[in-house]
Amino acid sequence: MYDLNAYRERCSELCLSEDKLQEVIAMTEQTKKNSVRRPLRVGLIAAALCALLVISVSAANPEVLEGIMTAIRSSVAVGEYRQDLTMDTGEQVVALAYPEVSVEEREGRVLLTVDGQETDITDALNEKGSYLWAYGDEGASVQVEVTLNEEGKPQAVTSIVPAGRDMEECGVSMVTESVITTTEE
Amino acid sequence: MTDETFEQAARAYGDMLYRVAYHALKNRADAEDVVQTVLLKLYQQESCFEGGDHMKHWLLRVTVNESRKLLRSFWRRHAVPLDERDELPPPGDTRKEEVFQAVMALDAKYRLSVYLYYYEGCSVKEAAAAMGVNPSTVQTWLQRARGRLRKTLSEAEEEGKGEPICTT
Repeated sequence: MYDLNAYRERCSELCLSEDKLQEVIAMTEQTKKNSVRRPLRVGLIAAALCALLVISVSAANPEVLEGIMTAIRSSVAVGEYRQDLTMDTGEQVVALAYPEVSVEEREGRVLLTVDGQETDITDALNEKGSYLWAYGDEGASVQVEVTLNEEGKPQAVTSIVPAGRDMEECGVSMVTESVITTTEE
Repeated sequence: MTDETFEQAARAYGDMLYRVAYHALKNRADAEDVVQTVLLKLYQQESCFEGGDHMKHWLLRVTVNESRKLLRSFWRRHAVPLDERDELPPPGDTRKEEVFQAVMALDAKYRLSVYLYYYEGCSVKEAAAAMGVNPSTVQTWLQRARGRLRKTLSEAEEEGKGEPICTT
């Protein structure tokens, strides 16, 4: 047998901080006024351009990112692809994250992968010349449109806007070129 | 739920929720976030609880579910940790720390079942209800957890870490 008392004693040392408890109790005041915003302290990669941030998970400039990340006082997750940030200056910033998108041509088929979910879009491209993947929640609306470029190769354009806005208002989109995968015999 | 009742419940169960979430997520900040989410859900809960036990088991179930949700979330999968400083109190008793770390090294389902059964004093049925599985599954998990702990702590003892860690 093992010393369960030692485990129990150690577990008893795990406590929620008083500050955090007070914060939760204070948040109940906010719930009376509007919908619940859940703070989520998770590190994230951000590129600050203006009041609306567009985040690419694959973007990496360590020095700039470190500076931005340390300037973030708190963040609230709103849906799957959006975080509302409060900077140290008190400025409120909306950060949107692109999903991970890849387009692959494999053994004559065209495969679109969005956040790990793979879809064979060959037939849609052949019939309509395009394929549209769309997602929306309380935070943001995301759209991935795959079309054929001038050379006839599949190309994905990813757009994201905060919830409630039209996709046409999207100022920045991400373009993903397709990759041809060959299987060695 | 009145503000006063909520504050009483938050103080009574806050530590318990934190420990459950910490066992699931192994991360202080994530555990605190889950506690906030669960307590807000409690505040917004419209139906009444039949008693203290009913509330406790409801909270345990919701905390396990919210922890699982966070583990699966886009943000957690793509997160860059802001601060990896270990914020637990510095270990004083080596024996306590070794047993605790041995539990935390188990798979999440084993850690949670050990915590609910041995620390919270839940029955197998209650632990199963909190985790959303059959009681027989929890029995199996506890058995496997005990086996792994025995092995891990025996190996630690053989490495000559002083007094035997395994005691009856």
